[in-house]
Amino acid sequence: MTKSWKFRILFCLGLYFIIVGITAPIFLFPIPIPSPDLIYCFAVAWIVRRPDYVPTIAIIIAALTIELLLFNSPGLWSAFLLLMTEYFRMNATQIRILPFLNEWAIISLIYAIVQAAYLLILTILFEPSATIQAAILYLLATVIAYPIVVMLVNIIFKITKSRSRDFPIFRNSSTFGGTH
Amino acid sequence: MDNYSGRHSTRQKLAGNFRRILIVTATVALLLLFFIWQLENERMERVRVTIVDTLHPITEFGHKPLILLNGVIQNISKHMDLVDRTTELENEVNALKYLREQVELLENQNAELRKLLNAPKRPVQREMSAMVVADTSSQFRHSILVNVGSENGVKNGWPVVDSMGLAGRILGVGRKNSRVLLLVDASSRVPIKIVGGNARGVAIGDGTPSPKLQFVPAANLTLGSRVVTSGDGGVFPPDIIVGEIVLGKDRIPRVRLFANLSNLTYVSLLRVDNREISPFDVGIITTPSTNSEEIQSGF
Repeated sequence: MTKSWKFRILFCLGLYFIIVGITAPIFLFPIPIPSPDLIYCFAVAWIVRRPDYVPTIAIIIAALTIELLLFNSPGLWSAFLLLMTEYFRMNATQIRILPFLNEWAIISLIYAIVQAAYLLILTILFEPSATIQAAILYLLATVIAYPIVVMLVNIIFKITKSRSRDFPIFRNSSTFGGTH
Repeated sequence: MDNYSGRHSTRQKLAGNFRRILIVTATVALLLLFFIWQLENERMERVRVTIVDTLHPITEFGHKPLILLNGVIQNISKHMDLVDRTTELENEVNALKYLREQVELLENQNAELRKLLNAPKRPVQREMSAMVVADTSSQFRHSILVNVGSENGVKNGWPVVDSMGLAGRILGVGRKNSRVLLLVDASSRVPIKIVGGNARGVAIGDGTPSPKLQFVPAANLTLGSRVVTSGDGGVFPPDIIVGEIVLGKDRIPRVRLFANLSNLTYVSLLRVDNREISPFDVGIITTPSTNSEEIQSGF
């Protein structure tokens, strides 16, 4: 129990450092390389590996914080992120046994679909949204960043896919799974 | 996972259902927040500025080591060519000293001529310096946070310049921090004129490093001409240097900004007027003549 709390706190710290990194007044726009959606990559990388270490409330707070700080109309993206992470949490047991390339493809595809829907809604509501070119670059950056984030999560936090099925926490987490 | 289904106690199922209800509630609450934001935009933006003000010390704590590291890296690269740089700067200072004398002379002459013509006096610009404390740009919006706020008397709509030219304007004032909407933001519109002529237009941000130039007659579009604010619309005072005309990769006339938006550390806020401009007044020409008169009579 104490171990999973340790990892939950580490997860929150990771989100905090990502927010700090995004808002640090060091490399301001225009940066030639578009920045990826690190919160998505980080949250999904953890949730697919160890859903029990990812407190949902931390994802909601981080998403809302970054939306408020970056002057988006807050709420919509946070809701989308919450639904995406919940989807991965439900299917974590299935995704975990897939080879990494398949995991990468699923995570990129879902992100692309949700991002497209998000931009569409923003455009319909006359909210400032990214140009198609910028949106594609952002998507590409996120897709490319995912394996790097996964690698860093493996190295720094030692969060790896555990394939042992008799891991007690996994059994609990499959309570919320979509298999039944 | 069928082999586990037998083990699911009622308690676990209940917990699962409870969790689902919580997730649905949270999603609905977030969507509701988004729609309230759409309806009550102006009031909610004030709420946001307050929240950002409160959140800032928390993120600032994390910024400190990053800024320190960045400073160390920049210092090392500066030390590499210190000697060359010093000679270069000394020469530049001498050249600038001469230019300053010239400017003072011309300013006096200008003032005298204006007196003779009975032209209205140029308002004296007072400045306030501020430090950039956060980069709040995303793929949608381009803005920064500066460390002055309503405590220092900052008002919405004040132009923000760096040492080279216009960078943006204040949009959202918190108690200790304010947000600067940069010229490259998709919602930024700056009425401009071209130096050495009467051609006027609008510089429209579109998320790329150089804003688009619109409503300028094609005959007046000389590449390399200087562009300054025109003062139309009353948000920006006239004659702040913005940049020069260039042709973008997409063959659209654009303004190459003189302000170095990719590396803003310190900026100056120009106190223009005591009139509070609504943060949602984008500054496009509405009734140019009345507004600019209003500004001038304010001084």
